[in-house]
Amino acid sequence: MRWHHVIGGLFGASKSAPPAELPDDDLELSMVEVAAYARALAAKRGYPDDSHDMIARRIVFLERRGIPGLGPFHRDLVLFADEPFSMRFNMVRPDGRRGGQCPIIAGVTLDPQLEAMTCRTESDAAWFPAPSNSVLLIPKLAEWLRPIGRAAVIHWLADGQRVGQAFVDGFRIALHGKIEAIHEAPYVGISGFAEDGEPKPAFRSGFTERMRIKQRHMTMMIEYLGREP
Amino acid sequence: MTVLTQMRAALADNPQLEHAFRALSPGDRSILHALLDTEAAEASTVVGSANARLWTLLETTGIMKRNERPELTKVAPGIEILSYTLTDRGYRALPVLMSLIDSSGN
Repeated sequence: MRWHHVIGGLFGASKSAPPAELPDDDLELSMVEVAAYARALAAKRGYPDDSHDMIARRIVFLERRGIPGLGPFHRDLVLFADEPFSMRFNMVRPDGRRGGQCPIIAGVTLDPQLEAMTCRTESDAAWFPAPSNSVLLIPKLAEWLRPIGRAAVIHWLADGQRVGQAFVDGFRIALHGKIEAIHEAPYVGISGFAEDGEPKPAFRSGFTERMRIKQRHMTMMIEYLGREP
Repeated sequence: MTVLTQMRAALADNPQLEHAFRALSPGDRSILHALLDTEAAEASTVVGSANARLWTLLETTGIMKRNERPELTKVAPGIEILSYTLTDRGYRALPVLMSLIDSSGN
């Protein structure tokens, strides 16, 4: 199998020792391994070199807080593998739909608007077509909020209903909603956070140093990394 | 008053805070990042260290709190070991403080 060569290249594993067969159940990755896979995926897709560390940092930020980051990033690359990377920047898709653009680039383009967005009330959030796998917007917002000590909320909207909310407080997050519903939601909104609102979110910082991943997802990710350009 | 305003006022009222921050080595600073990034993390230092000087000041601003750990003195008799954690307020205020100091140059 080719995948063990990829792992060896990534983590310096001995090439002389044949890999043991993968167990049937879930696998575990340390945060160092998560970061290495995130960097490798970003490089494979063609993200600029100087963005790889940023992408890895944000994915580890999510995973350390028990929120999927590596899976959604890999999913994003696979779902849009046939779309030229340069097209992933556009909010309008090749088929004319709006939304589904790259969540990493969408985070960058939000920068000039975040000041105004995070001053809005939760009932008056600023809405825009959702990037694909938009859970990946959370760490971007967290990094923007940290130096100014503000908290904010990301909302996800589907069929007129809020299907998810991420309360973001710098290094801490409270995520409400199912990740599948969040990824399917066609609209994302950003607002400020009412400190005295109810119910109060239970903010959490990082609480795990290892993430679990299904063997089949791991195999798919390694196959993606091993694809010919 | 926002957290940003509160931290600006804390720096203005207590210049020692900035001096203590600037006295930290990169290793010392990494402890603060680890505390922010890891829930319920607890950090230890010894009396008289750069960390101890800063953490004591951060305690007065409500960013850190000292934990009573009498058992730590048994680890190294004669050396007073201090244990601190971030407060709830500290999770939001500490990044602001670090950003203000970093952006204020020399």
